[in-house]
Amino acid sequence: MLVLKTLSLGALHGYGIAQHIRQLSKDVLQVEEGSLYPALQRMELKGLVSAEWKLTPTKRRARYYKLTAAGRKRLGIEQSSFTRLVDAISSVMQPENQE
Amino acid sequence: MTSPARIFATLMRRASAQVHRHKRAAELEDELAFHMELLEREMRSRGMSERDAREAAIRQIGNRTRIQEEARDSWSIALIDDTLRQLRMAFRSARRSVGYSLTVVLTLALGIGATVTIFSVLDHVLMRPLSYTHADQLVSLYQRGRGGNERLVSYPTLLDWSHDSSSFDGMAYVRGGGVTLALPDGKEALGVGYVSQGFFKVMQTRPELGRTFAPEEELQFGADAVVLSHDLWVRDFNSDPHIIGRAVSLDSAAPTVIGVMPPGFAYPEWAQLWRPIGQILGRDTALQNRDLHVDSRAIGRLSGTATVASASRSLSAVQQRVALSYPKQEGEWTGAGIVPLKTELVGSIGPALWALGSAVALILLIACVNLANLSAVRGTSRGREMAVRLALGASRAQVSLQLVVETLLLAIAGAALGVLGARFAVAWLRANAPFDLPRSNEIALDSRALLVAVLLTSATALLFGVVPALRAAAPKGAIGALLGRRSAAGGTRAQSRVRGALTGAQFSLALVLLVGAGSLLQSYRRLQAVDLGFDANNLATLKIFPPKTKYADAGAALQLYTSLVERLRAVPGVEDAAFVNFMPPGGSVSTRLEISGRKVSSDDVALYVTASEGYMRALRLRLARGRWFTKNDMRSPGDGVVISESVAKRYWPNADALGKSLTIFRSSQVRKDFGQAVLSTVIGIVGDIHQHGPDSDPEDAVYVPLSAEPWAWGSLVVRTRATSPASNVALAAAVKDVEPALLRSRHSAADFTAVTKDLSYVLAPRRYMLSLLGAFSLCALALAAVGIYGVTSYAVAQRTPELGIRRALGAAEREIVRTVLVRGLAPALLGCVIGVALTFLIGRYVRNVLSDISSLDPVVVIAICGLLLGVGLAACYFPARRAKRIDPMIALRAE
Repeated sequence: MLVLKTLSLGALHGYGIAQHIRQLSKDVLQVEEGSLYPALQRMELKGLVSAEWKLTPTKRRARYYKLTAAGRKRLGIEQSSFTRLVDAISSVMQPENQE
Repeated sequence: MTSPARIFATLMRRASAQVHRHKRAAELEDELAFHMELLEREMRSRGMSERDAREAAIRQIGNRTRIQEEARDSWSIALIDDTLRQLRMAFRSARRSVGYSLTVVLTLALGIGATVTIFSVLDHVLMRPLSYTHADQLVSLYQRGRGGNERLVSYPTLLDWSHDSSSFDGMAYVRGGGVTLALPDGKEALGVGYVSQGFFKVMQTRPELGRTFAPEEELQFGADAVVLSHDLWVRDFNSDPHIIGRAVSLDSAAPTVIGVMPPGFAYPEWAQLWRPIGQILGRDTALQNRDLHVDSRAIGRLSGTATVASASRSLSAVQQRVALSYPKQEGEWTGAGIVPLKTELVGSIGPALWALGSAVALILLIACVNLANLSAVRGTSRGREMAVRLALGASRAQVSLQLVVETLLLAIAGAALGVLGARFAVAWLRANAPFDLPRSNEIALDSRALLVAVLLTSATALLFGVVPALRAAAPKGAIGALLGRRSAAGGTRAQSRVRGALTGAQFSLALVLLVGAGSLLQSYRRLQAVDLGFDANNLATLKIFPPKTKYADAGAALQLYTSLVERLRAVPGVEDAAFVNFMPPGGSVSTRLEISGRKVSSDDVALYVTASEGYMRALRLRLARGRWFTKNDMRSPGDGVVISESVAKRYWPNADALGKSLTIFRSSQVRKDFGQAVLSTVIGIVGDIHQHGPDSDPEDAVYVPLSAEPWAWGSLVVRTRATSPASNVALAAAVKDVEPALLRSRHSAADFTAVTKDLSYVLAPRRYMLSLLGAFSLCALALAAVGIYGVTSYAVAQRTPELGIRRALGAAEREIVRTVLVRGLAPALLGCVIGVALTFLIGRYVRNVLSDISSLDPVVVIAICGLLLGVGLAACYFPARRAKRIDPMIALRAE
């Protein structure tokens, strides 16, 4: 989900994705390279992202990942179910907020 | 969300990833390298040294190989990957043991090829319904006499039947005839069916093109119309789609083509076109005469509720009334015979084909047994390999899968080879099908046969592959094998007994088949040596059909035949020439005989041969008494006839037949005086001849001078000199000199043929059966050899330690060999004994199927037994030699 969310902002390469998540989560969430790349491969096979070789601004060849339509849809679904989960958890954790 | 399209897209991406996995791996490597580079730069920007930065980056990324592996798992489909690996291994293992692989593949190819071939024949000839609508309702109709004999129905009687009977949805009558079709590029003689009213309604087949006869066309003197068969339309009219409405020239008529029947519509089998019977009602006396039973067919369609038995009862009741009304012509004929069309078409050949089919099924069974034995042999030698694999951590499923894949690979190779062979075999069977194999033109290797092949392959692969695989994977067996215990091979006493029994069964079956083939070969040889009653060597013959327009008159025809014979005699190299209505081997017509003082009986019949004066000389018939016809007889026929010796013996057993008188009946159906009684005197007696070829008995015959009854068509026969014979070209030129129209046929051979060739054609069905049975019995022999080889090798492999101990204890090589041979051959010997018993037991049935095996010749049986045991001995020799070479030390160490 995090990867999908990251990519929804625009095409990015693997390193960029890892950086992005780390920065936004203020280093709380560490994306391990060991699981990032296999995950990207799986997502690609499922058709959630598409990849293509492009040149970076520093003229370096890199594989850029982009969200596909299916990926966008999947992100929506995951986001809403995540929100529901968070809501549910917070209402359990802070029952005084209710009524 | 998971729509089929999406699943498919995912699958496609996966498949493509699988295919391009090497490229993807390289790409991932690139990507990771790039990632590391950026990480390194980041670390350095934080102030690390180059070395530290590098190490940190490596640490950060972790195990690159692991990433690769994890990613690869997501690309590849584990099952496919595994299977591919297994396949590669299977190929390697097949290459390693060429002998075993070849044996398995060839065994399977033999079994599956033979089965698929015979299945194709059985399926198309026997199992598939005829191509007519509701073909099971179509029946052939006959009259049945008091004695159970059958005869064709006359047209007037059939009309009575069709007015009366209630069990039928319709009946029709077809009168056979010949016409000459004139086309721009020549003429062609064709078989035509003159069909009674409602024939096409009875057949219920819709024409491929146009329509069938309208009621007004079916009336006498109706508009002349013709319906063509599909084959004729394709062959002679180039499948012209605009043929409907065109007039074609048939003899002197020009009927309009109104329809073309679809392929497969062939009733009667010889009909290439159909015309309404109304066109010949006035001309054909046979159609008005209740007493004449001529070239014709009667067919009926049973009504929905009627069965053959019920229809036969009700139609017999009708016939009984007819018999009462016409006591003179029908008095003896009080019943009706009803035969389903398909039974009539394939009836005689059915049992033979089923017998072959079951023989082949048994052959396949033998093949499977062999394969099971062979894979058991291999199982023993590979037990250790499997055990090592299991011990090294291969899962049981993997080991089993490997065995199954190996088996499957061999099975598929065998099946492919078998189907390929079957393709050729089926093509051969179709091309060489004798004239008496019905529906042979329908025989083909099609999807149904392929389905059978696939099923057989899977079944056999399961049988001989999976079972050993499961056994190999069994933990007990594995450990045992690793320890080198004999029990691991799974050879208990009971199992080895079963194996021996199966080997014995193979030998019995092979013996039965071989004896059958041997007997058939022997009877074929005997037939070839039959004295035909005439000398067929250096005889050539040509069937001629004089144009009816020119030679309708008997006098004109006689004149033509006389000039032809004279002209042919003048050809250099010709010894003699003659004309006869039916040249042996071939057709014939019969006449009834009446002799004053003898009770008139429908059994008193003889062939009716009308021949010119040179016939006896040309054929070298043996003159027993009196004389043959002279030139004088040809000018003015008296009442003299020549009879065969059998006629003389039958009617005048105790007296001299010469000079006696008898009444015969004119038999040329096309003449006005057809059926007329002629009182004749016997002027000569000649030896009997086999009119229909060596495989049928000589028949009674009456010879009538050609001048007394000039047949409308017939055969020219020429005896050429043994040295410097006349060429076919010269003979044809002579015929052309006299009447060019005789050789202007498009498709029939316009050439003299050797009579020996015609005789060989008569024996063609036997040759066909002989080749089939011969091929199958050789298959069975080969398989029996493979079988006994497999079992004996298995036994030797199993007994290696025991034999080793024996050697160590001082047994001589010869003794070892003898032990193995005796053990191996015992089941073969037993099988032969049982096979001989079986042969005698089913001999009667086989004799029915293969009509001319008169009795089992002990010489053949003994020879076949010898052959089988010889082959068995040879097959056992190899394992015995292996046993002889067992090194006692190695054998004991293995223990």
